[in-house]
Amino acid sequence: MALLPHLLMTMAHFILILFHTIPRWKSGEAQGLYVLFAVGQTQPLHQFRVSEPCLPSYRGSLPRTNYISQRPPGATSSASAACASGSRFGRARGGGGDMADVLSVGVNLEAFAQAISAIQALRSSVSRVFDCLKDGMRNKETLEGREKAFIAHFQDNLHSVNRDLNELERLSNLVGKPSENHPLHNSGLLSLDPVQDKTPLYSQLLQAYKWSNKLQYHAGLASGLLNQQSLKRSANQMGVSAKRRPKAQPTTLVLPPQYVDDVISRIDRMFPEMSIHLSRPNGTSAMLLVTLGKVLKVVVVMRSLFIDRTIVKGYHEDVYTEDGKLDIWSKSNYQVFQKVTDHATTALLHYQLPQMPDVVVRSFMTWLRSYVKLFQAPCQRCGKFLQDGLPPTWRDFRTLEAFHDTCRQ
Amino acid sequence: MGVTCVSQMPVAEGKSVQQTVELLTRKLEMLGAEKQGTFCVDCETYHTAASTLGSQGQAGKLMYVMHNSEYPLSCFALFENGPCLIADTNFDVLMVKLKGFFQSAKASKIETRGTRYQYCDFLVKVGTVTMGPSARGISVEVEYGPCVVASDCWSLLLEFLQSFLGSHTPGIPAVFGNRHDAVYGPADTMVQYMELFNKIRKQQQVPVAGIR
Ligand SMILES: [Zn+2]
Repeated sequence: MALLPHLLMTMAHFILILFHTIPRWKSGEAQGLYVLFAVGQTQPLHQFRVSEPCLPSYRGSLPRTNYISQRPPGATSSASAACASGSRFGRARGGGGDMADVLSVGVNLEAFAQAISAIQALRSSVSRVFDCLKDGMRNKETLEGREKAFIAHFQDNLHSVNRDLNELERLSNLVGKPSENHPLHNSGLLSLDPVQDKTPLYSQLLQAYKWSNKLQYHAGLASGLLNQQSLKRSANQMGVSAKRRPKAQPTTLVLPPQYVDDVISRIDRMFPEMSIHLSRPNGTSAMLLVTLGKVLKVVVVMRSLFIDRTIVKGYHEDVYTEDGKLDIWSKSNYQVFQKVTDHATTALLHYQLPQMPDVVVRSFMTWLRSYVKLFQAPCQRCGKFLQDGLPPTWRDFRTLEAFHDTCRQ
Repeated sequence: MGVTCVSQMPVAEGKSVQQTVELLTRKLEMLGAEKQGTFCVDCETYHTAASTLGSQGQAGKLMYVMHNSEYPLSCFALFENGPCLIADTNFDVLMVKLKGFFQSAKASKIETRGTRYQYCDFLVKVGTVTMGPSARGISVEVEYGPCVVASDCWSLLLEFLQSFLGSHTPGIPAVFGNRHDAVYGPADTMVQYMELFNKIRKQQQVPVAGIR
């Protein structure tokens, strides 16, 4: 019996658990991501992806796999039509370069088939390990004999797991990488789904992709143009022309919350008279409560790092609703803050730099900070404090000088 | 509650208090201010009872108990240069029970009544100050709602006051200088009213039409 704890330790290191993301495991249907790891270890021992090899672009250039032949006869024509439109699309999109790229990434089908059977072998040997453990020790004459037989049996099973795993590892290197840079990734597999005959999902997907691609192209052109102007603007205003970034990152609405937090807390530290409180009451979108001196409070609704909406209120006005949430709808009771809210919304439209959302937020906050002298700064044009009962509510986007709404150029 | 400035408007030469108030309100209406109901601020003076004075050997201190229609549920109790207590209106009943310590000065009740005007974010209250049956003067209160720090918006308030008080624009109220960037509160307004009432009480012998 003294052997048992030792045995369990060895087991812990050798029992392999096999995951697969798509639990269909009939003969030949093996696709998805496989992760193998030992119990008690966080790093996977091995990871590989198995995808079905018929992507639209392979049409004609590679032998068809048996998956196609398993499909009902009526389905093949529409699948090849889908494949055809896919490849047409591929050509239209990237020109010759993309096509060659897709075709060069071959999948060694023979190794692929072997790998699938190796996975099956591995699975059955793993099951045998569990069976062996489940059955426990067989009845033998002596206790020692029982233990010995059990350990020997268990060891055999583990060895076969090890052997199968090594074999699989060897094969997985031979399989080659399925084309990761195919424009549709795994969604290309949708064309193989027999349900497709009823729902035109795949052709719609291709259409949508075509459109989104066009959109991206046009957006790229537009952002290039906008970029030039905005850079000029912010350079004038902030004096940061030296800080050109090497390459604009692709614009994205999906930034990790941690990144947003970092950008905001950096801005918070930048201005001592401004305090920013970040909260996420409704999921991932951040809401900021900016308190500027003892002058005003601003509720800022963000979507990722893009500012969606701002409401300016007085320092002593309530910014929370009765149930304790930030009130993002009601406006200030004072005309001066209603006016500043309007101007802040204008500023949101002015400070646009889709490639660098963090610069936009910083520029906006810098502009907002100039309101710390809302009641103390006379108009730079007429020299007065009041016009129609309102102080200078406008702040120039570049110079941050105070003007009455009607005194600005 | 914004920053408030309370001042006295002298009665125009050859005019009655009533006429001067009308002149002022007409000016406000010309400016575009809108009438918004009425207001009232009153003040009663109490002095410490003689019996407690003798035993403690202290000089008698005056206490002012005030009400402001802007805060209908509150009662303000102030000492000159001293603390200001903001209490519930029940405080009046308590003062009756404290008769042994604080005694109401006879015919000391002074109050100002008038009309509220709203102009943009400004609230203007022009009132007639009366003691007993007679009108003693004119009070002008201007509140700027959006701002909470008195020193921040004094220049702005001054410009507004000049627009309808002209040469009678007051200087900066003493309470503005007290705490440099503290948040302005209702008590600060009551202190200003108390000072205004005290000033008017001292002027009571002067003939009404002859000021300045
Ligand atoms: Zn102006």
